[in-house]
Amino acid sequence: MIKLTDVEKTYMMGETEVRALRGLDLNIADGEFVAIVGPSGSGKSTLMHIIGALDVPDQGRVLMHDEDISVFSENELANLRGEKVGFVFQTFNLIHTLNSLENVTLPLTFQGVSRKERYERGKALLETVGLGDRLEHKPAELSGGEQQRVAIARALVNDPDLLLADEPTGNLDTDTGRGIMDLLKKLNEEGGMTVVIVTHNPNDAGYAGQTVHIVDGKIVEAKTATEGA
Amino acid sequence: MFLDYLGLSWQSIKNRQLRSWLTILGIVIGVTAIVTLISIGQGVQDSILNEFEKLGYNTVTVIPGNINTQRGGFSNAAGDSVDSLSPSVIEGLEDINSKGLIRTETGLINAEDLEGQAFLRVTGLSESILTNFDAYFNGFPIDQGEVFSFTDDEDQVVLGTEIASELGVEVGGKIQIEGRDFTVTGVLKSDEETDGGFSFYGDLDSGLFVPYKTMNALYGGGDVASIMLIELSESADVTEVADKIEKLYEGRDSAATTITTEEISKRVNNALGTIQIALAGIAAISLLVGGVGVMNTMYTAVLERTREIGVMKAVGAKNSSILKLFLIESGLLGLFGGALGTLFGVGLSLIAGHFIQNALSAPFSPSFRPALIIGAIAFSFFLGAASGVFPARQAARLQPVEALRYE
Repeated sequence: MIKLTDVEKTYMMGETEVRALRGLDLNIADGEFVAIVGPSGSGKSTLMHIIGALDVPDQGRVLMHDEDISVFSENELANLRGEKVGFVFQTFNLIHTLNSLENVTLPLTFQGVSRKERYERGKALLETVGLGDRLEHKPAELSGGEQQRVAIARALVNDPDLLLADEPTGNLDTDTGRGIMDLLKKLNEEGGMTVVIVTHNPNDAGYAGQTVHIVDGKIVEAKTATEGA
Repeated sequence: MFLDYLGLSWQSIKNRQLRSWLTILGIVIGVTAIVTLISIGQGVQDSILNEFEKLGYNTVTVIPGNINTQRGGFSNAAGDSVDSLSPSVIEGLEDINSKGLIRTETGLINAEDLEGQAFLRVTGLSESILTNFDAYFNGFPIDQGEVFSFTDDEDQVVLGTEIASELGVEVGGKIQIEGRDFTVTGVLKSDEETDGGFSFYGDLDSGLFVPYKTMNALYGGGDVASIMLIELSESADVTEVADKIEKLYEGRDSAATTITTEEISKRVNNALGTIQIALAGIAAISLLVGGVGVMNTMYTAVLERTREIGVMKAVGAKNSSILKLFLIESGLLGLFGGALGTLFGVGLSLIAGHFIQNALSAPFSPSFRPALIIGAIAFSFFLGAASGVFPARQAARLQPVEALRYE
């Protein structure tokens, strides 16, 4: 599904130049559950941004379904994100002025989906993540776990091929975090969705079929669950 | 989709109510000032023009002298001051329906109650003045008695209310003009009692009015007028006839200047229009400041919501979507400011109109043209949107990754 070849990415952090990715190669197959692990500043998040079409590499190619998205225009990337990718962030990143349902259906709003259809899809997803009774609640009225569920529902509302989660349990207690990871696993196993998570947490990484260890912008180890076991 | 964007923008405005209201207030003040000034200015213009229109657009006023002379005064071709013209000059001219003559002289007045004698302005009116041109004298409103008879040979006079009381005479009483006895047949209403409007002649309260032919008998000359009012046929080209009249007087002892209602309308429109533009321009400065307020608020909003913009982009919002969201938001601020400002402006000018009416003792109402109301609101919306262009572009151009990283 996704193939990265010799990907390089450098960005400026204030005055400092950060070489986040240094000639990185990676293959992710359809329906795979991948965990990207590594120390802080190793380039995990940058890698996830590039896989999710949030950013483009300075060099190298990123193929998604055999299409080179590294040459896409900003609008093409936006369309791709809107139609094929779902994001879950560590800090949930819900819009605090909108209620759960509005947050969940936000991606559909930008795609011009009708209000009725948005409502139906949003409501169904919130019910799926166990928040059928929290449709009108604003993020401030929800617990951390609930907020992350809303964020997951939002990531799923456009029925994406690829779900990306950046430290999805980073701001949650262990039990809640486990619930979220179970949910992601279920989406992967039952829905056949490709899931890529970035994590520090070995427990979370344990859910993945493939774990990619990245240090200093390079993959130092990639192993499948069977290899690890 | 527009409605969805409108909803999102509305949420954002609602979320920071105090700042939004303060920003809107900036626009409100500017729009209130503009709507008030323009509606009152337009009201003044309307009431003045309304008075001129009473004379009719097919009326030409002919006054002696060349008003366009370099010296600015009334003069004839030789540069001497003139105060009369010969009505007979225009006889035979086509398109003339009727002609009204006014002759004014300074008369020696005696009355029983008057100590000594007085020199006062005496005005002779031809009958057609009161039948066809009474607007010139604000309707020549009789309070007591009646207008003198134009056919009787008896010497009759109508007095302004102030003169009547100064001379100590009432209807039926006698006064002397140039040593001749005159019977007072009527006394005019005072200016304050009339229902608004004004007299082109000037102060009616201190006037003494007699028939035109009596004036000729008193002061001699049968072909003398101080002002001539000419009503043209409906089909006549007023400007063309007015030019012809001026030409007829050229080179004679008494040059003449013609004034048409259309010309006066134009001059009044020009003069008041310029004043209005100047006033509205000053008020527009405050509106501009309001626009800067919107820009400031929107820049702050972009900063505060950088992360939110990143999230929106992550879930598929295009640059154009973000641009629209912020433009709608700033346009809404302008629109609310414009609507409220217009409302306040209408209220304020109604109150001001009431005071103006009391001060002028004449009916006055501010004029609220649909163009003003719609224009003020629409302009505020565009001003708001325009003020949001730069902040919105800044928001739209944010890179999603950088926006998401923003703390």
